[in-house]
Amino acid sequence: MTIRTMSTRLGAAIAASTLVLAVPAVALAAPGGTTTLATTTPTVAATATGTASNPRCTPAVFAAAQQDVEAALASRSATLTSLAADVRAAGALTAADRATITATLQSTTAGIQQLTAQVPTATTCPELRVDATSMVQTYRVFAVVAPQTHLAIVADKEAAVEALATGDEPGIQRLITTAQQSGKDVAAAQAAFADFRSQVAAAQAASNGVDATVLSQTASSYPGSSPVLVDARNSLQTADTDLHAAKGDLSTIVSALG
Amino acid sequence: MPIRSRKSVVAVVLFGSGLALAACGGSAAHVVGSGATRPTPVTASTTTVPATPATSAPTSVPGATTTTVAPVGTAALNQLNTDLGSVDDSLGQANNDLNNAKGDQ
Repeated sequence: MTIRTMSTRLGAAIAASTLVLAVPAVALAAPGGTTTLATTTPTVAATATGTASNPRCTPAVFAAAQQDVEAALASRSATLTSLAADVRAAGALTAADRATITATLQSTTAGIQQLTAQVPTATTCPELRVDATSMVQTYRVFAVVAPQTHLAIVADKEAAVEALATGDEPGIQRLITTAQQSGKDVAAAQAAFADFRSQVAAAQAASNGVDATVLSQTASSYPGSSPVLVDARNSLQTADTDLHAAKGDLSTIVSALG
Repeated sequence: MPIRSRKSVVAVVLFGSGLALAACGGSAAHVVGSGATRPTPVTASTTTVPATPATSAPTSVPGATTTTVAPVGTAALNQLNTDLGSVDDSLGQANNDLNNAKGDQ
């Protein structure tokens, strides 16, 4: 073997390895984000000569590719575990939303666990591709499940804050009235209270129904789910800004009456 | 003390006591005396501010309006601040999710 040949082979091996390792999550996924597992036809097939139609999984790099898929599955499992913990800690989640999210997380976790057990038994690139495609397209842990879970948590937290703030309004008004009756100048407090009510109402308008919208998204909704989730995020961000403004108003009220 | 003043004092004490009782009971310190059933707060509160009016209100009659309103309003503000911090944290996680979904794309 000449030095030139060795160099070429070494370069090719490094390139193939790097390619597989660089894109672990999608390395073996079939192109096109909308193909479902049921209809996916693996396009990678090792030939009798050992070459493949797709350089991302060849017999030469099969072991590395398999490890990449296993790592991608582990990453999804870790994310699902973290999401479950977030749901448990989110006391403001409504019972209905909690049940919906929990069901999604349980079914997704079961599916990922099944793939985790299955992938090590794969012996060919086509087998690995089917599993990798399922991992991405059947479950969409990163693109759908994670954001919809956190957005639903945000939506319900905001709804709880809005309910608390609304419930405070009569009491705040009584505080202002009492202060006024004792001779205190309450003009600033009254103005801040008016804005407080306005901000809380605006927050309610922005966040209302967002939880149902995000939880109606599924893995099969992708890629159409992406703009839906981004819009939901924007609405919740608007509500958050409104609630921070309400907090500023309450601070003004406290200072004015103090 | 004139009758009118005594009535005002009694009213303030009762109001302050009501606030204190409402604030000490239930699930959170986030109370401004609305009397309505309180929604569950976003975060579990360990605020001890509501305890102040419970002990101070009966002994600070003339200044009850000042000494009671401020702590309760502060408690509500603290609770709102804590709750919004929790909202911001979750919103940050959602943003992170949306910005790092390429593994599924």
